[in-house]
Amino acid sequence: MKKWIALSLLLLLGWTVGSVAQNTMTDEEILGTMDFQRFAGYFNQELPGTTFTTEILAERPDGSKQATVQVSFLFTEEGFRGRIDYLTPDELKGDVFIIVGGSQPGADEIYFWNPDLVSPLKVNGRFEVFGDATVVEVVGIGFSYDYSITERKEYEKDGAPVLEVSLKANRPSVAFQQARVVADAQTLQPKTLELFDESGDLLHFNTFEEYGTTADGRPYFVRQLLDNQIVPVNQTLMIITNIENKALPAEMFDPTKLGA
Amino acid sequence: MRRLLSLIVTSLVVGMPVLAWGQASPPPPATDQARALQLEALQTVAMVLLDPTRSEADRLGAATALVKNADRTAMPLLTGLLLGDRFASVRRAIAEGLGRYRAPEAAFSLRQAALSDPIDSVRWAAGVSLLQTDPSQTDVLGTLLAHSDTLSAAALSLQEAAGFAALPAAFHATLESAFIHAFPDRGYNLVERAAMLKALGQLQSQAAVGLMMDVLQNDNEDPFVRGAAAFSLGTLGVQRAVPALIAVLNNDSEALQVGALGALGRLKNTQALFALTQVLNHEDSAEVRAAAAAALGALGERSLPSLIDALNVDPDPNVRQAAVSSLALMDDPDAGEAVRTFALGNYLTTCDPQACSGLALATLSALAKLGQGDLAVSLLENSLAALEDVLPFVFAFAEEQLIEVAVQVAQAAPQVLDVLLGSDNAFVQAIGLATLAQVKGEFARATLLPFTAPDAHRLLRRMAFEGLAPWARPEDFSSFNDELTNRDRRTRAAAFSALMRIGGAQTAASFSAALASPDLATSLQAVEAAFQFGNRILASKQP
Repeated sequence: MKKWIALSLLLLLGWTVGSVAQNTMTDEEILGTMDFQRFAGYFNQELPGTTFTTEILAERPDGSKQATVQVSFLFTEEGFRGRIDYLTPDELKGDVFIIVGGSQPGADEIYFWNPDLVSPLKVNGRFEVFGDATVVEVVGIGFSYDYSITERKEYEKDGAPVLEVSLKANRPSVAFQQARVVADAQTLQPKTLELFDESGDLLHFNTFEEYGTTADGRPYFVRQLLDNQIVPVNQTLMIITNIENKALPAEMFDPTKLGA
Repeated sequence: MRRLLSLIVTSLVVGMPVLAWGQASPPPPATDQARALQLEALQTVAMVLLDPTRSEADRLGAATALVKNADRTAMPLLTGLLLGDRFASVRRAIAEGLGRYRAPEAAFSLRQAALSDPIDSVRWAAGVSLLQTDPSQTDVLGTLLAHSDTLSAAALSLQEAAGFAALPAAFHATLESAFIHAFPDRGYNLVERAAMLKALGQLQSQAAVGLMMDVLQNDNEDPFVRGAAAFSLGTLGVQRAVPALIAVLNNDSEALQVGALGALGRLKNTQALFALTQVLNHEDSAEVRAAAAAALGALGERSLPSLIDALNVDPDPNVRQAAVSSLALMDDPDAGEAVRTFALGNYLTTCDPQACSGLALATLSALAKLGQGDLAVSLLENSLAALEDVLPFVFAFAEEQLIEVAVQVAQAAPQVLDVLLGSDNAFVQAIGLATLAQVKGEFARATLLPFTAPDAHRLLRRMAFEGLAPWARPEDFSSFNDELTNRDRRTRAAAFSALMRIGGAQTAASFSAALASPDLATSLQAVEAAFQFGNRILASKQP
């Protein structure tokens, strides 16, 4: 949750992004810009509600599952509110999850509803995407509040200059205690993100395959491959479409209003 | 766009007679009535799609109802949406659905979408529907396959049976060649490359066997991709791959192991018995052991000892579940005795219900299949009692599986119906009603009818109406008609289905009224029902 607030503050400061001189930037500025590049399109201070659609492909060597979900979130005085509506496939269509508050996305109170239920159910544990509870946690990870840079490296990768930063968590409560980001050296747009546990074992390897910009020029990641090293049988590909910043009614995030 | 849609709807509606069914005048001829009802349904769904404030979910629901059920009068609306809707999910649903019409008037729009939609998967879906509509437009297929993003979308779609089924067979060879050619390009990510191999499996590509064998045995290749190669060799039935598949079981990558185990299960080659048993007994990963137990089930009675062992001693309930499911496949008294002994032991009674609910269901299913009906009844009773606190959750997430197992048990031991229906727990009773309806069909009517009373529990009413709907009689008309506006989606669906079965002018009038419901979900159900009902009548009147 705090990482999202930090990100909003970052946007409020009006961070400028383009060709940045990362060698003169502070560590905080580098991390903030990397967050901005991935998430800026998802936030708009004038319109604190956001919706976007995600195509999720959960792949295994022996099969695959595909879904389209609409994700909505809102910052209220009471805190973060999230909602996930399954649009496809048919067997999941109409399923709704509402996420209320909590210290960080993916670890909050979660309510489940579908049109066949009499009333919503409060679900224990984390929200799962086709059985993988880490997807939401990993996709929403921000750097600027939770991490500090321990090492910077510059080199060429695939013929282009990149900046690699190694990160260490600022608190024990951060889910992934170490991370490594490889970003475009000019824009600081992350290309890959590796997440490690405290002992340095690799847990996730994420590749940001495509970025887009909103109509008013704010960047966001469009396509991300999540390689879960904890359950290496699973790979998840997420493709974002239709980001909209708009006023969303609070009732949309009220579990007691589901099915009413 | 909005103006265009308005014009389409207006032009369709103008000039149609206003039909007032249910009044004293005799009903119009059935075909006119069917056409009028379909037009009304088209108008209803068009008004939803014309409303720019509707959410993506609403628009997708409306578009799907239309493209799956409407006749070609809907084509202007559908092609307009294909080229103009702001949501990719809506455009994709229409792109996928338009192929079934084989309508030449859709070809231009499909071509446009295939060549210019901003979303890869929409372009591919439109391309497939175009090829179904006009197979001569092979230049579009060439363009799609020449671009890496649409080639990836093709692989991701064709790796699954549903996506594959839509592609006309005449183009299989072109796709086969494109995937084999593109696969070595590491610019594609590992999910896309794995999908290419799985798509080649769907294409039954014998030309890809060599490539798959090379990938499987290449230590420098990504294990996930190697796992997909292994799995695809199983899909293709390549028996000569068995030694290589066995060899990679020693690799410590779960993705590779799971792919190879899936293939060995499909190939049913007894050469793999020892290796599979070793994996089941010694592998650290529970996921891999479960895959080994599943594969052993395909090898018949020679795998019995290791499966029985796993059922009794494996530390992970998911592995035990795979073992008991494999044992259930065997027509062998020893398998039945092993499952019986396990069920009578204390593992299930001491295991965390949430962790072991899948195992409990699999055990019940196995007992029923293996002729241990009496014990299954007792275990089902105990399991439901143990699950009482979490039954609403189990019911919400696994209703279908619960009822499927209860049906299996009831077929082996009908007395389970008395146990279920005699419970004072509404969820257990609901399982009982659904089971009764499936097992006894029309003969469940007398038992189900009392549960349709307005003061009956909502869940039990739903189950009763669902059970009665396939056997609805004309005298049931009014009771089902009253449920068309029920707040419960499934009760409404049962009512629409029952009225469609009963048929006649009254049904058309009821569907017409439901189309005007202020509740979108109800009116979209009415749209589907109206199109289906109309199609049936029109088809029956064709010479």
